[in-house]
Amino acid sequence: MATASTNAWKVNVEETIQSGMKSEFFSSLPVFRSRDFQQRGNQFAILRGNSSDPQNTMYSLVANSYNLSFEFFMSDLKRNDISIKKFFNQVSRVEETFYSLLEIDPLFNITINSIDYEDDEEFKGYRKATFDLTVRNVR
Amino acid sequence: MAISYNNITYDKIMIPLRDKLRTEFKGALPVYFDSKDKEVGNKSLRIYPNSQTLQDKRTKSYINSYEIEMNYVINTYRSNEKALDEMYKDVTRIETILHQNSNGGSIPYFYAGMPTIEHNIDTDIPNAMVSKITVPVLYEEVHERFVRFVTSNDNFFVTSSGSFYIVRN
Repeated sequence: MATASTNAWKVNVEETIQSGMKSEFFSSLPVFRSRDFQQRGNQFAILRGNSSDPQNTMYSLVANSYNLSFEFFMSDLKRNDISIKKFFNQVSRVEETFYSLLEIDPLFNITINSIDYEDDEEFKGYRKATFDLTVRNVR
Repeated sequence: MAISYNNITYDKIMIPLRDKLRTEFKGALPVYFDSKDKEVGNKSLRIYPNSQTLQDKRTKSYINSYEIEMNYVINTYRSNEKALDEMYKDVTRIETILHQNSNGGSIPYFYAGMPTIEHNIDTDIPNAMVSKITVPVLYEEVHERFVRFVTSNDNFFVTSSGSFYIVRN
């Protein structure tokens, strides 16, 4: 008989983040799970799993730290004060969503280690904020 | 229900910094926000954050250090001592302003250290001298906390749209 297991990366981590973002932003900030950059509209995010570290595997529960990047893209063709304000407003809203909504589940603990801001020609006019995340989850 | 939040980087970090500098220079030094240098007047100051790093996470708050980069640009058609002196003078003045306003008063931010300064950095603007000033800013944000509403049969309340039903803690 095959071992029963949960797809922890997908179900416990990434879909929880997608669901939390959907609760706050509805369809205005689609979150995709992808390895590569793909242009998806005016505003979107790409969630990418990088690695996981075991916390303790000697109990009946499996505890891991999952390291992910959450890349937020916002198209900014106007390039003015208002669009910069809007960009940072969305970044703060995402940050608050991570801390307020996603930790409702006591088994789900999230830390935003850092956010890097980039703005480069290769992003086709997008401003980009890369969230470096660590999710501690027990299953 | 949408969460309540502050536009931390813009309203709590960038605006107070810009206002302090505008008050000091009174229009003699245009200050603007952008990720790229622009040609604005004879001299200008561009402000933009590079990154933020978590310093401490508490039960209901988090403290981040925001690395703010400022590019001071002065136009000059030749590399003369007069322009150089003006650049040094203005950069020192900016440094002094940061030192004297290291606490945010009603806004809970403060500069975590004195700025790092690099002179004569490369830029796309022709005939200009540029100094880069980088200052770390600490800010603590208190966030909301919610809990799931657990039913007697150990389920969670979930709305029809698939969103969490959330109740204030």
